[in-house]
Amino acid sequence: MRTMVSESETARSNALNALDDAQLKKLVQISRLLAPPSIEPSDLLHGAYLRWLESDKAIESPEATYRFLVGAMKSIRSNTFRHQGVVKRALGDRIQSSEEGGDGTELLTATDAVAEDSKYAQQVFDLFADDPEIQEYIFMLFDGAKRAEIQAELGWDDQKYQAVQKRRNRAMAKFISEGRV
Amino acid sequence: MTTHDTPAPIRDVLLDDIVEEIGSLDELELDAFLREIGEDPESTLEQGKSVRSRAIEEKKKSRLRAAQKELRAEKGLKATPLIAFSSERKREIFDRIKRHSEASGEMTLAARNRVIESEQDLDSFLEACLRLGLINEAGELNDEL
Repeated sequence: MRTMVSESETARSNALNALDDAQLKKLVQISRLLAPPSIEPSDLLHGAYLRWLESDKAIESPEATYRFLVGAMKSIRSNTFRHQGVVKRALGDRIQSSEEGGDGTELLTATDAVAEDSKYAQQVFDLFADDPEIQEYIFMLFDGAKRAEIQAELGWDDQKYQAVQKRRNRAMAKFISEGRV
Repeated sequence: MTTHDTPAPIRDVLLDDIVEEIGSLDELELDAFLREIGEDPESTLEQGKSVRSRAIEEKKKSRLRAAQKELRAEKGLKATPLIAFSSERKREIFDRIKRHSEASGEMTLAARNRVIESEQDLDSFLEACLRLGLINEAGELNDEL
């Protein structure tokens, strides 16, 4: 039995070693983008690798392994934020119950989440002050508009939409890399 | 309150777009993308290799630690009753095994001639007899039961 487990682990390690250079670089860059403030990007990626090594997901191809690892990083990120929200709510509850007249500013509620979203959108909007096209785009995204609606509203064809999206992606990645957002 | 407590939907939308674009790039395009945002492709690759090795190594070590723990627990379970006996009791069992083996000729010459110089030697010998099924965990000869 022990031998079987070991063989399976070797196969999972081999699957990681089968990732090519481009996939490795993509994973590192994605970890830089997705790492929550409390986690180092390399630790986020390390956590994703361990999830793969411990999972029983069938080994298919390097592309499938890559997709699993990206999904694992998103999941760790989302769990981290959820955990922080729970802790914050618990702390907020304690503050409210222990301090008479507490204003509950530490509570993380649905209203807070909306406020956070607005604040983030404003922050990004300001960073693109010199690019009105991206600002319009972000404004519509924040409004929940989908691609077709954005294109219709702004009169953009596919080529134009993709060009603005590409410009925005690169600028956003740079802002994140520089710690500006 | 920081801006990082809950992932805001707009943030996820923007990040998902970048992740998707990165996924669609070939290596040359990716290197250009990395340079454009101020990252070095070579050090990015080295970092990727290093984190991967660290994870694989850590997993191997944790498996080894688990196997060692399991082995110790297994060994401990079987050895404890014999080890816990008094020296006199262990010596008595040893003498009985020796007499029995000489009478039956069942044990190998090496085992019969084994020199017991310390209590540790005695423990190892009794442990071996237990594993061979010559005695049970109470130190009784299985043939005499």
